Amino acid sequence: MSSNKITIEFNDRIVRQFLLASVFWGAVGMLVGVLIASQLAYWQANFNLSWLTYGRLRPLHTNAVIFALVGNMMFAGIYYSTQRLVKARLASDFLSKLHFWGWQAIIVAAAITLPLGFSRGKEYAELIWPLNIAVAVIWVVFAINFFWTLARRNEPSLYVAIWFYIGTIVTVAMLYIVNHLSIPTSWTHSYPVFSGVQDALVQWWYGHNAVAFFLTTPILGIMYYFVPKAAERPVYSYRLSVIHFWSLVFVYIWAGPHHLLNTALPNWLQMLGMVFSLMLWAPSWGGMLNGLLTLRGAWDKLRTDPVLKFFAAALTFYGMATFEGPLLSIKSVNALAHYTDWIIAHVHVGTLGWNGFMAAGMTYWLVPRLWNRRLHSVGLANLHFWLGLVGILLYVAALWTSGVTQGLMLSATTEHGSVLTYPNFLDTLAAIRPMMLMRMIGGTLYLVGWFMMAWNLYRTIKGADPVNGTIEVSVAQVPAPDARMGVGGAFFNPPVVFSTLSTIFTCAWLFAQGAWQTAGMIGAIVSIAGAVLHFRAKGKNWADWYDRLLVNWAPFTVLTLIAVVAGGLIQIVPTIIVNKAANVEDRIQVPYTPLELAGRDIYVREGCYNCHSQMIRTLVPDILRYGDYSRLGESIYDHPFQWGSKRTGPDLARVGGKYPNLWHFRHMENPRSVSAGSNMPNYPWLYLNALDVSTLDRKIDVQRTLGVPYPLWTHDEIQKNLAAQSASITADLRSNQVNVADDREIVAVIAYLQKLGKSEAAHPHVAQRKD
Amino acid sequence: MFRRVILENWMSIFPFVAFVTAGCVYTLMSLKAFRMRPAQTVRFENLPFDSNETARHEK
Repeated sequence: MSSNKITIEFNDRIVRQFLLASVFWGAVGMLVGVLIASQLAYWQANFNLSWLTYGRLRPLHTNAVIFALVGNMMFAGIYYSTQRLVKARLASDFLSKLHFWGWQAIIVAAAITLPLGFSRGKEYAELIWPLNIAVAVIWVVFAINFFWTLARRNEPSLYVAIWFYIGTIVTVAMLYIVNHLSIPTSWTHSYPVFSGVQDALVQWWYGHNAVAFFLTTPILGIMYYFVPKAAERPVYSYRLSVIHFWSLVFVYIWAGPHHLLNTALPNWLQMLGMVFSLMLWAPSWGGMLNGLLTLRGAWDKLRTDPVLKFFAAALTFYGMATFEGPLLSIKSVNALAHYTDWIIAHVHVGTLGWNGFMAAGMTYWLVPRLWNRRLHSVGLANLHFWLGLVGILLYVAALWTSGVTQGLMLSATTEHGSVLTYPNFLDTLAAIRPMMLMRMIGGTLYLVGWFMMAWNLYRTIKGADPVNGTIEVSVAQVPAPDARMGVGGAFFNPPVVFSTLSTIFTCAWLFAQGAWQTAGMIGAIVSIAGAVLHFRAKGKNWADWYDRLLVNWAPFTVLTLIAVVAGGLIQIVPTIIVNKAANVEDRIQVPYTPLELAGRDIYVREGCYNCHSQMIRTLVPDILRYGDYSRLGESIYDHPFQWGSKRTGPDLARVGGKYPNLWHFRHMENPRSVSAGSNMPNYPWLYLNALDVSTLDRKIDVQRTLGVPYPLWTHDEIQKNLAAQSASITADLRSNQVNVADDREIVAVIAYLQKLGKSEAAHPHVAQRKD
Repeated sequence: MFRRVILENWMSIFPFVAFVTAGCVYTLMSLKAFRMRPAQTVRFENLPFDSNETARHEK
């Protein structure tokens, strides 16, 4: 090894930029969160303004907190720690700048488009398609910058934090691209390529793993770097961190279907989601304990050091959230908790407790180092911690109470289970109103703490000189030639070859017929026996392969990608092949008329799915309350699906025909005029806005391309169909002394709501075969 | 009914296969981790401290 030494100056400017952006956008995201919490308690806080209503602001809140707060914090932490762990400056200053400014531009665009109602109608995936492309491009910029840095590293070994970052980069790219596959109908609107159950599965494969690989794995990497640094001692068990990484990466990706328990999703997928969620307990708690035990011998510092306080509490909340998640994935527990505030409590234990406190701890640790000045006020940071902690506890305790209360009330029956005890949904809403107020107060306390941090940082930074870290390294510290592997080397080695052959032959044995099955059986036995014999004879080769993998980022990345792709493929591919309209049994959806489709787009625009589900579960209380359980075929043409994940209001899957047109007209104008005690906003603009039909032809074309069986209508036929249905609804309203023009948006919304639950008998092609 | 047998029930094998596969991965990685040489783990766990960093003020 040469003794040539060079001095490297890290690019800490980009770390400072992302760090400050995280604090700023965190404040914005949480401010919106407090506003929408107050809207739940007081409907007047919607101000009768379209761009300030709950349905449009809730996506802004979730996207801001996930992609702006945690995103920026993650980039700051990754860039800071990676440069030091690999002893190299970030590969490109230009890419770093492009990454930062591109990401901020996307956030600003989201902050404008979401309140204006430009939405794809899928949770945490609401951004319109041009922004989806921008996100993908900037993510690729990030990936190039990161992997290029790894390629130029001066430290051969890859610390476990780097593994978590690699897992994050490849998995988020895969999830984001698949769930955002859409066909545009205009510059601001598109329909997802998946529909109904397929869309539901893909969405929650993405949604769950957004939590896993955007809110968890990068933060775990940050934890494995910053907690030892703050505690000034190495991680408790490096061995445990190895198990933590591989088991988490392999298991997490399969758990998405637990968001769809007791729904029309095929049962094998529900079982898969539940089993893998339960398996997550072990790696999650392993990681949590590894982090907490890193503080061994440093517990006394918690009294005075706000950084360690935040880290210790964050890890505790990580443990709580990852205990609660698998618990909620048990079908019987989920039957009570799903669609209630319990789920919201669970999410906020993770985001406020785990992500928010890790962000605060990391920020308090980094700022004095990045600006070379002591923190302005340690006391204020400690006060931030206590305010935040009390805020979280108030918030989640209120929502736990609210969720369990409403869940029990909604499922309570009498007369031997044949009659609902609380048939009026609003009775259950009235019961949880005090908890809504408590939630608002808890969220406000947390936000006040965040503002304190912003003030503290401002006073620390003001007048201080930014500094960049420098390090002296030996240029010859790159991997020795015999340790290099190459991407090909990741595959053409005994462990991978034998494992692949065993898997292929075993699948053939299990699923093939006749000679292929016999060949599969023989092949499986031979390959497994061969693996055992080879391992006994040349076991060192197997161990060497793994050791070389740890210093070769490219093959490591490819194998990580395979680990995460497997879960998605096995869940999604069979669902796409089998669960399509041609195979639907029992009932199948009737495609929307042009007016109904236009009304549905308004439903999506207003974010109604944030409070109303369209999925009656296979549970007695759901059926007693909302009607017969939802069949898989009843939403098979829905691009996007609108099954929902929360019932602040009742399910709407069979609301069509339940009330007259006049009821819907009054309800959307002022919900309290027909539903006393409702907290739903008024929608006055639906009565003023003319329906935009300029892109309706294109929308129907796209739906037809995606498989919805629309006839080949001409423009005139579409307009004629639309006009006739509008006239029918307005005539009905006029007969009840309500005058409204045919072309108002409310007419289309009424048409859509009256269609929900209307289906016809299914005649699947396969069932008609004579053989 | 026949259609359901040929199209859907074969997929019920997946939870079982997936569970066993994940269990194998978990077990193998645990074995691998616990067989790491002490010198190797000490080397890895000290990587975050393996730098004598100084600071350079930005102009």
